[in-house]
Amino acid sequence: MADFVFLPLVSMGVFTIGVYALILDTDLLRKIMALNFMASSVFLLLISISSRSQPAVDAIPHGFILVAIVIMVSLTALALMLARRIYQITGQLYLLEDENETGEPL
Amino acid sequence: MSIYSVKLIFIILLLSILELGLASAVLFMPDAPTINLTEVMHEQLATTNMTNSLSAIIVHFRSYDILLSISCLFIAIVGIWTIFYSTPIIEKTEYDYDTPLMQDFPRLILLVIFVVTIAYILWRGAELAIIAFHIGAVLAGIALFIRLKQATKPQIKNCIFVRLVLSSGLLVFATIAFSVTAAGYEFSNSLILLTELSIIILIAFSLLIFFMARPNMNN
Repeated sequence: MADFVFLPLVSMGVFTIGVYALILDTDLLRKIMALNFMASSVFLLLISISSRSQPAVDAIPHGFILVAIVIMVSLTALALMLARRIYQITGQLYLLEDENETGEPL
Repeated sequence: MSIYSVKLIFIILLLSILELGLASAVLFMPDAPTINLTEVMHEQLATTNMTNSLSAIIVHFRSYDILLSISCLFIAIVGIWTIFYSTPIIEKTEYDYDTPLMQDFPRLILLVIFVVTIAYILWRGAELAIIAFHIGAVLAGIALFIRLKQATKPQIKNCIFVRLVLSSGLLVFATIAFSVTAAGYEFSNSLILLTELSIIILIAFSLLIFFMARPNMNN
């Protein structure tokens, strides 16, 4: 039961770091990594929820996580592909809205 | 105090409010759900002749979840290929894979490790909760490892064979799922084996294509 205080706090901290990087970082690769951070934190939260039920460990959140990992992998692959296209077309790894007047990233 | 540090403090404040809100939402979550799914699952576990509860959940109780996540993988492949072929820009990149890991002896050791891993998964997979995802991922690793040496050569072509192999996993799974739903039968063991095989093929190929599919632009 002590795990259920510690692990959600850690997972929410990781989620907050992911939100920070997702919103404030201009680099697209870091944005994708932030998405992965957030997904991992949710997985950690589900794991801690499954350890809450005693005595047998609840296997249903584990099943959720197995499905979610597959979805996250495909989402990451698609996002990386989009980032690569943006790099091919514009020659830079940030969106055009994220640059200032001199053409530098914010 | 500059504007930058004020902004930083404001951001940190907002983030800690978010963190505290999320943590309180989780920690004060209601303890007793209205339906105890765990108990229901453990009661139904005897009907599935599977020892591991996670395998039982994935194969028997929530197999449509797997179908949908597999189709998610497939949609990602379709999206990636669409982005590839939308505007053909020829990338002139020289890939240098002549790292120490790619020498002959380390490659041999790594291949042996892969083979041992596959054998272990096949041996213990029934009793542990090791399923098609893991086997597919290891197979994709092996295929990637073999292809990596020839990475500068022309890549997987956009031919009908590749498309058939890619879509066969989802096609087989969806056919089985719809026919089972329509006919009202239970999943038999041979059907489960067939779906697992199709999932393994789809996952291995899609993970490989996520990494390797640089189509040959000269054709």
